[in-house]
Amino acid sequence: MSKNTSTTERRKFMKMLGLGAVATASSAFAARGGGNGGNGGNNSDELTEEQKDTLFYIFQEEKVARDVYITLGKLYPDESTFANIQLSEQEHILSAQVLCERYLMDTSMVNLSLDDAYVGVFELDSMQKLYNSCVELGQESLLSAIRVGVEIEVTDIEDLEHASEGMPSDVVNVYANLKDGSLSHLAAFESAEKSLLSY
Amino acid sequence: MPTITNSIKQTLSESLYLYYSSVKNGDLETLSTLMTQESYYITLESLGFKRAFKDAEFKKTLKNIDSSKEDLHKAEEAISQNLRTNSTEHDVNVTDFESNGNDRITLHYSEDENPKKMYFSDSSGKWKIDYKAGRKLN
Repeated sequence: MSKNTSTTERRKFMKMLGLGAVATASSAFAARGGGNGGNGGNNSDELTEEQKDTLFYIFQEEKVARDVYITLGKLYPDESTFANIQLSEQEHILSAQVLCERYLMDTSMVNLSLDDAYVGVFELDSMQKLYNSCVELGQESLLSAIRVGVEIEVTDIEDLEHASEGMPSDVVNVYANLKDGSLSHLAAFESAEKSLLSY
Repeated sequence: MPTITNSIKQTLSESLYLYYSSVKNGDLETLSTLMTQESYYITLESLGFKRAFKDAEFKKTLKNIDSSKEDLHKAEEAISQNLRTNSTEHDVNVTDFESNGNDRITLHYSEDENPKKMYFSDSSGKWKIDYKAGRKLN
């Protein structure tokens, strides 16, 4: 994979948030798989070093979305959408973690604890800034919080649609499951937004 | 794991402190020299996120930073201005260095007493902040 291709694979979360210049899975990550292209994966069981780096970064970034939903859910306890989706987001993180470990990546240094002391705490400054921005916007109003959720899911879906290219079939399958989950989340947030606007 | 020399430790420490001062002062020209291009774009997206959420035009601009030099420049100007008017000072102290294999290092540090880390990779003899360098190489 060329360096330029790698650049387009970045930022699952940012992309997920609709900000990435490229349609990838970075922030919500669907890393555009790299390699020699192809649609829907390949049959090799190998990832390039760059694909592994992207997958690992995506794994770390998954925590941002989960923790945003946990925090906004506590801020708006009567809005059940956040509580419902954060459980699914935890499953997304575990899926990404299993995938990393399948490719022999050490994930032990990433603290995924749900303890209050760790939710919303990121060792990487870029992820901390992104989490802080999402929460600050969500604190403005319930409607803004719901729209943060919409942005996250819309971008995630766009990214995941491109994320599988060149990836082995097991990665493709995980990304397909993540996309299905994001579609469900998006429907829930859009329903909540519509309900709020109808008042 | 490869040895991390004192010279490398000094280089990485200086990069970290420069990263913080650049962000505080809105000096994106300096910031861009400290990071891989990919990591720099990720940083711009993080720093510009709040404005993009509320400003559809800026959101479009931010989306194009890696395909349009004009949009990159526009985004940098807006983000730099925002950083200068909303600067925050942090107490940053380097605590440790950890090799992640050949040509990649995790720098552990504290920011206002909170544990943080920054990943670096060495490309062509120059160490740069690289968010993708956190994976340990076997």
